[in-house]
Amino acid sequence: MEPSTSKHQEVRAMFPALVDDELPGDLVANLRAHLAICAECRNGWSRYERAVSLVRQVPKEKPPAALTAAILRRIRRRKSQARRRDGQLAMAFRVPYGVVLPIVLAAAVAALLFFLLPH
Amino acid sequence: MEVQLSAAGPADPASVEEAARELRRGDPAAFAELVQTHQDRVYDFCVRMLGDREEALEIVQEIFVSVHQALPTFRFDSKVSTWIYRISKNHCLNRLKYLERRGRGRSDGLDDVPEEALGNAAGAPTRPDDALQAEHERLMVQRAIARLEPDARALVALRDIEGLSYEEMVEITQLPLGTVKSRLHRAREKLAEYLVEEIPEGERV
Repeated sequence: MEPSTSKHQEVRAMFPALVDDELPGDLVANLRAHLAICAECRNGWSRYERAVSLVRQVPKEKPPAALTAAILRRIRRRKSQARRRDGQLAMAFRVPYGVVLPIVLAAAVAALLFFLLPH
Repeated sequence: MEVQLSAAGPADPASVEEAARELRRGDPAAFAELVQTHQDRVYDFCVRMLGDREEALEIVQEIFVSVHQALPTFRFDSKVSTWIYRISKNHCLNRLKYLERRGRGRSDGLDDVPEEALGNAAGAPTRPDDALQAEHERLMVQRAIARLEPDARALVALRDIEGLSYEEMVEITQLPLGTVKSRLHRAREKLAEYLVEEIPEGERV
């Protein structure tokens, strides 16, 4: 008799634990027993296991040796750009005290005279 | 204090954390160590995500600029490596969106066969037939990965290529464990489907 669809789904749901060796021994035995009699699940498992195994075997990509230096250079460049930007901002918002102070002072004296002197 | 971090082999987590603390105190040498410790894995992850070595090189530099900027606010409540992967994943997803909007143009894709792949690379098979077979499989897998949705691609890359644990994936993706597992399962099923399509019909099982 063909296993039910829900049985196939149940079995497929266990593939991740099986491939990660996280399935308890008794469940592994049940699962293997089902795979032995169910071609559909056996094919599904074979594809799943092969895909995971191929991905896990893929060789690591190695960066060029100069990468560390490039990263540190970029960080230094960004820092100096930030400093320059901060400097420009400070310049833009810098208060020209030499000009502003005498004007404020003169205005204050004028206001004082205006209020104190009889009209 | 001098921080010892090896660029080769697995990083010692304690020394990586210590290096990050040194950096917060403004030690540029500690940051250089941090870069050397993580850059290979970040580059490999970015190549898988973007499918393009030149794009990956560019984005890795931007990732470490972000890491450098964000380190003063990093609270050490997660591993530095998972934090860097989280930044990497976000950068890659944004880059993919940007490339999609602009109509992606690949420069140095992964379809070209590096010469080392045909023999001398460490751990590579020694016989030319084996080397060609391995290279063929590498391209097939890369093409299949590239067909996955970016989020699914990230899960497959983190788990099956970078070899991270589910706990680390939860931290990186900020998704519940069950969601990570079910999405990874669906991604692998898709991948299996794409890999079957990659195999010429006569060779299929």
